[in-house]
Order: sequence, then structure tokens, then C-alpha cells
Amino acid sequence: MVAFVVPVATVLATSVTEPPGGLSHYARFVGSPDLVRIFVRTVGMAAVATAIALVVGYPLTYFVTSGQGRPGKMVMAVVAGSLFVSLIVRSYAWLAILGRGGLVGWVGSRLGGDTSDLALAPTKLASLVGILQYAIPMMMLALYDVVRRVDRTLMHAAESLGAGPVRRFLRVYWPQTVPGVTAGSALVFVSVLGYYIIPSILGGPQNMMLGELIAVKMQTTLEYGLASALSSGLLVVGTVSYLLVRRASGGGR
Amino acid sequence: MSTAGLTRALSVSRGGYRMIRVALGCLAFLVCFYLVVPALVVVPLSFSASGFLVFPVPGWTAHWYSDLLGDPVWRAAIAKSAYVAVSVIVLSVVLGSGAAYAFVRSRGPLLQMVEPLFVMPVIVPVVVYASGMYLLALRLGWTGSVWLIIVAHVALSLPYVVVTLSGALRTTDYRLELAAETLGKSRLSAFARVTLRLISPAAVGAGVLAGLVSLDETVAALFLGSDIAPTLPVRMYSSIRYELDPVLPAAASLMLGLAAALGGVAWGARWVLRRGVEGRAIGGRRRGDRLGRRGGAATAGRAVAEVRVPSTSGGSTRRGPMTGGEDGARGMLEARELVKRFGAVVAVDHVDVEVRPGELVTLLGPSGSGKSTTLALVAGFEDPDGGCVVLDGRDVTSLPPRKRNVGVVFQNYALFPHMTVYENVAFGLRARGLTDADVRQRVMEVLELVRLEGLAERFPRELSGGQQQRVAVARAIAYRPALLLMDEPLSALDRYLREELQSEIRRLHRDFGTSILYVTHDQSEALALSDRVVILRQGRVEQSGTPQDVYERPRSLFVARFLGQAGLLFGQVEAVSSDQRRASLRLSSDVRLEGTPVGAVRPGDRGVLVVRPEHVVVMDPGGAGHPGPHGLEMRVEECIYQGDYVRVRGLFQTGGRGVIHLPSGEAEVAVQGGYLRVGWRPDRAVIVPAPDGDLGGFETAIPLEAKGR
Repeated sequence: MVAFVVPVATVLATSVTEPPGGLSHYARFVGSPDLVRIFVRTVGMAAVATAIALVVGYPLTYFVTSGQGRPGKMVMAVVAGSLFVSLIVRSYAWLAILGRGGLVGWVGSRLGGDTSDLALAPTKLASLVGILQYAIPMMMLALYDVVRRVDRTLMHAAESLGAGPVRRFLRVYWPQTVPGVTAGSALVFVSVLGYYIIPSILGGPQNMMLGELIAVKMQTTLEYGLASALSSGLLVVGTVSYLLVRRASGGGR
Repeated sequence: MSTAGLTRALSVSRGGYRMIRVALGCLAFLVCFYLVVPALVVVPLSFSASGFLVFPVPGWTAHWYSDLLGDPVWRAAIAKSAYVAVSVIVLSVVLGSGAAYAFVRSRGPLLQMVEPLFVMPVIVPVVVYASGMYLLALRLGWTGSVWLIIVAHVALSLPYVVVTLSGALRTTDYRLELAAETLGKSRLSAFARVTLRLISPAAVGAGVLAGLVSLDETVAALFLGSDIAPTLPVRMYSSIRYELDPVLPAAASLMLGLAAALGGVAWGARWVLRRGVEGRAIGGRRRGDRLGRRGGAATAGRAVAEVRVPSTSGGSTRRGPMTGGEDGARGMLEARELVKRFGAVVAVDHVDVEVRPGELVTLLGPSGSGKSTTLALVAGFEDPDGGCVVLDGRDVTSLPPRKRNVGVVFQNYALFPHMTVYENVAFGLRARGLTDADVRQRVMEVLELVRLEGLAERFPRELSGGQQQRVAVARAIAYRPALLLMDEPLSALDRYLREELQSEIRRLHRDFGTSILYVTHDQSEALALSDRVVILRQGRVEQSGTPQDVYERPRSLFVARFLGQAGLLFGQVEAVSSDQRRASLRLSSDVRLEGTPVGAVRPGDRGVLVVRPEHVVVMDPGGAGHPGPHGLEMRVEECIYQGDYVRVRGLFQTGGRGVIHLPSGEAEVAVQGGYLRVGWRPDRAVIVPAPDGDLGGFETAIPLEAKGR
């Protein structure tokens, strides 16, 4: 706890105490269109990644938990296991797949297209592809526990009472999984906000996200105050969205 | 149709569902492919002759690996990462198991810290955390220290470690520790021998998780590490960003290999830990079994001969072979004025319990009556707020369970899952320092007594519920405790088995002669088993006595109702004879009934006449007109067929409810809606004080005039 609270408090303190002090760093941050653009891009990226992860992860978790036996277990093992593959290794691999002269370009040219010079990385799309590598498994793990516990006999009960598939899903199944959906979305959204390495490698400088910006300001240009202000902004967005989601799901339980 | 069949029929018989399923299967395959592709690409690439991220691959070579390992910078990075990871594993497992234990076993304020601990890493991005650490390090002048990275990694991995370990701890029943304590282990030793052993696979898993987090972590290491000696991921990151070193695929494959190796270590270690426990058990067990069988053959004759010791009258002489007077234990419990409070709730309120040598005493009461807490006080799991526990003349109130010489059979048995039946039973004996030969002989003797001699080498999970129950009993009596405590030992079993094991317990108690304090909420169990019954209500003793005594002469309406069916008639006490053997109760102006007064019955008070259904006889079926003395007209409300008898419930014409048990063959006299004239011998009925106010909803159907007053 202490090991966590102290550094965070230091960041918050530095953002207002570093000369010239006060809220000047925040003012600079808000006053700079470049910085605001990066901030908005970061939040947008997190939102998009969360949405895609949910759209893909939800049906997949349903598939895994709905009595698929062995295949279901294997899918879940791959999903959970993939989280253990180093993030830097994966980013690098996607660079090799999507970059100039990479796997995608080569396969494209073998199929007759003029794609040997195609460079899909570093781009925003590549960055998203890399981020989703984490977002989807995280979402699925958060959903898994909740979805697994949904009582399937309730669906049969609803069916016996005359509810069609859409009503069954919307009125019976979905409400039971809402806690998982909110928890998973909060988890994915907040962690994508802070991503640094993946967008840095796969997105390139023109698609820089807040995490990398903070690192640059902190370590390269030594603007501690500004970096702390940016960090604090990230912290606030993360905390607020977490609290919102918590409230939305009824006290977070 | 079975439930599974129904489910299948409901869900599969639709073409639409099958389509959805196929689509989902395809999606699953695609996502898995997407997740696996990086690993599939990196490894072949590391053998590519080109050295660049170029396809098609021009040729194959392995020299990137030798280049990687030959380069001092890369080598230093690998060494540093390994150093950090190992430190992180050790630190986070040590800190994490302490934290997890505190969280799981304590119910106090610590628990409120759990949520923030797990939420913090979620809402605080690593970048923010790393920035904070960096700023701190700058101020304190510690930049570049490897310890900063280690601290950061421990902080980042601790939540995973704590979650894993507390999950394992939570599924490890704390009663196992209590069991080990009663069997003679100190608290620390109980923790080490039982809990630590059981969670060791989880601890390995947690350590591997911590190692993986540390190996993979780049951001904190980037902020906090020195530029000259980076960790492996940081070195890779800067290489990707600035130079694209051709050994990168090899380095990436190496990292994959490391992660896989860690996973393999975890798997292997878990396997060894499990096997280790079982393997030793198998070895020991074979030996034990063989010798035990020989020993068993030698002692069998003696045991049988001694088991048949005729039970002469009087509890203290009912001794079997096992209660040898070697340590002078007689099994006399006197618990006096026990008080236990939980916050504002008084769970046990000045309870006296006495178990005389060789007696089986039952604590009977509804849930929340304090019976299990009383047992816990006698066992020593809880410290009383008042009163004392005296066992064989020795005040044991302040002694830990292991020094009280009691055996406990837990409600869920609390058998050690990582030990065989043999080892479970031997546990208490070994804790008492018996030689291996003695242990073996005693275990086989006891297993024979509970008829499990053939199952010594099984693990608890391989036994049925009834068998587990017997093992629990065997374990508790193996070391000949002065007193056996049984906490609802049969409640987890189905009715059939319960009745079988009841007679088993009766037999054991008879043969074994140990004093037993038995907790149950099942009145028929209590009546069937006990020498004496102590009925508890809201932490107080309501009544105690022999089963016959409490059943036939309940002191209160509560006891009367709790112990079984009864006809209840409310009225006003008119007179009590001078010798206190007869009282009369006025139900209405012209109906008076007599019965034996029990408890504080005084003329003028409200009273209840209680009569058990088997004492009620039908005097005149279908009769009408005035009731004679002890003859009452009852309107039949319902007849419930019970197999060997029919339970007839009705309303007396004077108010109050009646219950009669009629033999099945004679039940046709009772027809729903018809009338019966019923009666009983006055000495079979008792009159108890009617409680003010709370009648438990019992009198709602009684006409006002019948309530007296």
C-alpha cells in the first residue's frame, strides 16, 4: 500500500509544487493544442479498444462458458496464456508482421498485389492491433467469472414462460452479466489509458499516446512539473471512469 | 427425462442455435490465432539468415543466438533481468503470503484494506506510478539503483500474488488448523503442517506470476533503471526504437522461452509437491498397512474380547478397551457459568454443562442458540468472557486446545485433504510423540473399530460422506481423549446414512466408553443418542434432563414444541395440588383439564396443557355433544399419511390445536372436516406456563375465549 501511495502522492505534489508552482503546469497542458490533442487521442483510443474488446470478448466468453467442454477450455487457456507473452515481444512481432517488408506485405504480393512496400506499422491501426492483444484477454478474464456463474436454467425457465430469444437475452441473460461487463470495461479502459510501450513501437511518434509523452517530458526534456500534471490528468480520468462504472454497476459488487 | 437431457433438448434442437454456435466457434478460432500469431512469427524469425524483418525468409541460421549471448550488453541485460525477477519472486511471495493470511483469517479493519490494494493498480497506470517512483528517486538521489526496480515490481506483482494466495487460503478450511490444534499441534506448527502445505502449489503459482510480471515489465524499469545497465525488456525496447539489432528476434524468442520455462517450473513444482505429499503417503502407507495388518491380526482377538465387556449399570463402568486408565483420564467435564459475547450479542449466557464419565450429553437447540459456541468454548477455540471449563478436575479454561486432551469431530469433518486416512488418524498420535510402532498399532485398532481397516491408504476425497465421517471419529478418538466433542457430525449426510451412523455412534460410545458432548439441532437425533439432553435457547439453558424427561415433561412451551409434535391447549391455571403433582387448567367456563404441572405454574397464571400425540386416544369417533372429563371434541383439519401411522391435526372445540398419531390400520375414523372425541390420561399431560406475548404464531387460530383471562 505504502509503496503505491507514496509515489502517486509524489506525482500529485510535484504537479503543483514544481516551479513556477500552482496550477501553471495544468494551465500549460490545457493551453497547448498539441498536448490536448494527444490527451484526446489517448482517451479515444482507450474507448475504441474497450468497445472492440467488449464486442469480441462478450460472445466469445459466452461460447467458452456455454458447455463447450474441451474446446472452450482450450480457448480460455490460449486467452489467459497469451497474457504471459511479453508485451515487448508481441509488439515487436507485430512490427515484423505489419511493417515494411513484413509478413502481411509479403503474403499480399504473393497473392498478386503490389504490397511489398506496404507499411502498416507504425500506424494508428497497428497500435490498436497491439493494444487489443491485451484488451481482449483482459476483458474476457473479467467477464469469464461472471458469465460462468449465470444460471443457464433461468434461460430455460424464461423460454418455458414464453420468452423469445431476444427477450431472453435482454431481460434474463444480459442483466446477469452486467457486473462483468462494467468491471471488464473499466479495467480495459483504464489500463489502455496508460499504455506506453505498444503505441510507442506500433504507433510511431505521430500517434504518440499520453504514456509516452509523460516519459519523454519526464526523462528527456526534464519537465517534471508538466509531466506530473499530465500524469495527474491520467490519474483523474482513470479514477473518475472507475468510480462511474462502479456506481453504474451498483456499488461495484 | 433427466435435467441434462432436457437442457440438451431445449438448446440443441434448434437450427438457429447451431448456426450461432458455429459462428462463435469461428470467432474463437480467429481470436486465438490473433493472440498466438506473435509467438508464431517471432520464433522462426530468430532463425532467419537475413537479420531484418523481411519476408520471405532467405535462409535459416542459428547464429543470432550465439551473437546475442556473445554480446556483453545483452548478456548484462539478461543477467540483470534474472536478478530482478528472482528477488521479486522471493520478496513478493514472502510479503504476499503474510498479507493474504492476514486478510483471509482476520475479520477486522484489515479486510477493508483489501479493496484499495487491488483497485490501486487498476486505476493507477504504470506510467504514473513509475513517474512517482522516478521523482522520489531523484529527490533521494537513488536513481539507477536496481532496488528501485525491484520495489516497483514487487508493488506491481503483489496484487496478483495476494489474490492467488488468498484464494488458496480461502478454500483451505480454517477448521483444518483447529483440528490440528486439538490433535496436539501448536498454532504455528498447525499452520506450517497443514495450511502452508496445502497452499504450497498456489505459492509456487504466485511466485511464477510475480516472476512473469517482473520479466515483462518495461515501463518502470525504463524509468528507474540506469541507462548503462538496462533490464532485458528495456534493452529490447531501445533496440527496437533506435537500432533494430538483428539479434532482436533471438532475444524475443529467449524471453518467450523464459516465460515458458517459468510456466514449466510452476507446473513441475506443483506436480512434485502434490506427488511428494502423496508419494510419501504411499510409501508410509504400504509399510503401515502391511505391519498394521499383521499387528491387527495379533490384536484382533484381544480387541474383540475386550469390546464385549458387559456394560454394567452406571456410566463410569462402561469402559471399552481404549479408555485405559493410563493417564487417569475419566472424562468428567464441568463447564460452569460460561459466557461468550460477540460484540453486543451474548451468544452464550451463563451456561452450565456437565458430562459425567462415560456419558453422552447432547446440546440441542435451534440455530443461533449458542450450542456450537459452547462447544467451541469447551474445545478451546474461543476464550470465554466468563466461567470456567474443568476437565477431570483440572481447570483447562486458559489452556490451548492441544493441551486439553479433547477430541473434536467437526461438522464438515475437517480431514486433511493432503493426507491419507492412515495419516489423518495417525496425526494426533504422532503429535503426542508415540513411536511408529505404537502409532501403527493404534491407528489400525481404531480403523478396525470404525470398520475402515481396508481403506487406510485412501485419501479423504476418495471416500464417501459416511466413510469420511468415520475417519473423523477415528482421528478424534485415536489418542484416547478424555472427552469427545462432536459438532453436528451427521448433518451433512442424507437421512438414511444418518440413521445408520447414529447407531454406529451409539455402538462406539458403548464399546469405547468415552464421554461425549454432542451438538445437534435435530431433536430426534438428540433423543435417540443421548444419556442427557441440554436444550439451549438464545444462549441460555432452557432445560436439561434425560431424553424421556425432557420429551414427556417439558418445562416450557418452547421445549414442548421443539422436541416434537404436541397438542396444545391454552387456558388459565385454576388450582395446583399441594404436592405439585396435579394442576387443573380452565379452558372455558365449563371445560377444565388436569395435568402434571412442570415449571413455575401458579394458580391464576396463563398456562398451556401439552399432550404428545401418541398419548391421545380416540374415545368416540364421530361423537358429538358434551365432552366428558378428559374427553374433548376435535374437528379434523388434515390427515397426513406417514406410512406406519397417520398424523391427524385438528382444532379442539374449546380452542387450541391437537395432534394425534393413529396407527395406519385404524385411521379411517378420521375424516377431514369430521369430528373425533379424544382423550388422554391426566398423568400423560403436562401443564407449563404460557409465555407472555411471543407464542411463535401458535395461537392465531385459537378463539379468544379459550385464552383465559
